[in-house]
Amino acid sequence: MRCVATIVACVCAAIAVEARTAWTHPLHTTLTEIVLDSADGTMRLTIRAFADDFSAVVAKHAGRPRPADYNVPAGDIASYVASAVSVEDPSGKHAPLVWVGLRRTGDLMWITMRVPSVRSLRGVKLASTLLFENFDDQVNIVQSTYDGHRYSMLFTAGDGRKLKPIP
Amino acid sequence: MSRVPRWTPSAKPAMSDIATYIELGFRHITDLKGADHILFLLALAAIYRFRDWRECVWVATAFTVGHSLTLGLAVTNVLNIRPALVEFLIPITIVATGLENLIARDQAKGSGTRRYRPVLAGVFGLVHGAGFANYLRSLFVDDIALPLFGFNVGIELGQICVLVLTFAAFTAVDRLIAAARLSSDGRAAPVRIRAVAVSCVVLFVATRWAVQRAPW
Repeated sequence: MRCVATIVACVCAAIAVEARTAWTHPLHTTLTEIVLDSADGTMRLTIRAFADDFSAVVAKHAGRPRPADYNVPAGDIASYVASAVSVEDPSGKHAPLVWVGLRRTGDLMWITMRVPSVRSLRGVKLASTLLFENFDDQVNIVQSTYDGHRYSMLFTAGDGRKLKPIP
Repeated sequence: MSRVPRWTPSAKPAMSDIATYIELGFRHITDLKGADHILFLLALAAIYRFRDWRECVWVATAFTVGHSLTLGLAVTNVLNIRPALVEFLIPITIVATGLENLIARDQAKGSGTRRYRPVLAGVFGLVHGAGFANYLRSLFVDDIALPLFGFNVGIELGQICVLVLTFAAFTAVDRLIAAARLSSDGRAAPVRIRAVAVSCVVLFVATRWAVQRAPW
């Protein structure tokens, strides 16, 4: 009897584990690189994101169907990024992002935006909620480079829209 | 399109940079929603008692060496394995470990050690390493050394945490089994009952994953 109970418990546990877990283990990550543009000295962000997930979330944000070929209009991308990435200048004012461009390499999209009102990274705060609406295990890496050093920080779904100072 | 610059890293990484990738690896391995690595660790640890922790650490370290090797080879493009095949092979390694737990019994009887287990874990680690290589290779196309190192350290730390929690749970289960006198007939020790139960759960889940991920 105890043996049967053990087997039943094992099967129930197995079904519970199987039902609650995804069947693949993807790394839901974006990488945002921040530098001061060598040409005009303004803050520049380059976001690397996997094209399949990113195009899906951009299309959803724009109220369009998910594109089969991952191609989404630049305007939709700019609008989504502006809603998901917040930048605050040292005086605490919201700094708007301006579209620069997009390129594709393999599975990756590279989106570049500029923040014309920011000309120094000291005291700048930032929040990145890219793809948080799609994956609760999403982790966004933000790397800033200045004074010859590279600094990194992570944004997770638990952070919400919390602004963090660039290290 | 033409104004997007290419990233050329030349800056020195700060501590925050390394810590970021350690955290990324740690989060990845301890994420309950993608439980394949946790399930593999459970299968590996299922036959051990707390006093066997040294042997278990050897096995886990061999797994880390295995996946670090493939991860390194894959992200540097020396090795290129189809992601669909890797996704299929990962549950196969879990099934094989679960079956090995059920078939070989010497550890539970305390009559010796399974000296081939670190080799087995190392070989299976090769498969698991290829699993996350595709993501890292795609994302860190230019400066892979630091992310790779930090990610591996994070994975190792995550594994240690998972194993510590696993052994705490196993110890509690063994005591419950002993208290319930499930082994009063003297034929099966609590650790053997627990190893069989854990292996059955692992086998069930991993077999389903393998069927779902079959690349044909």
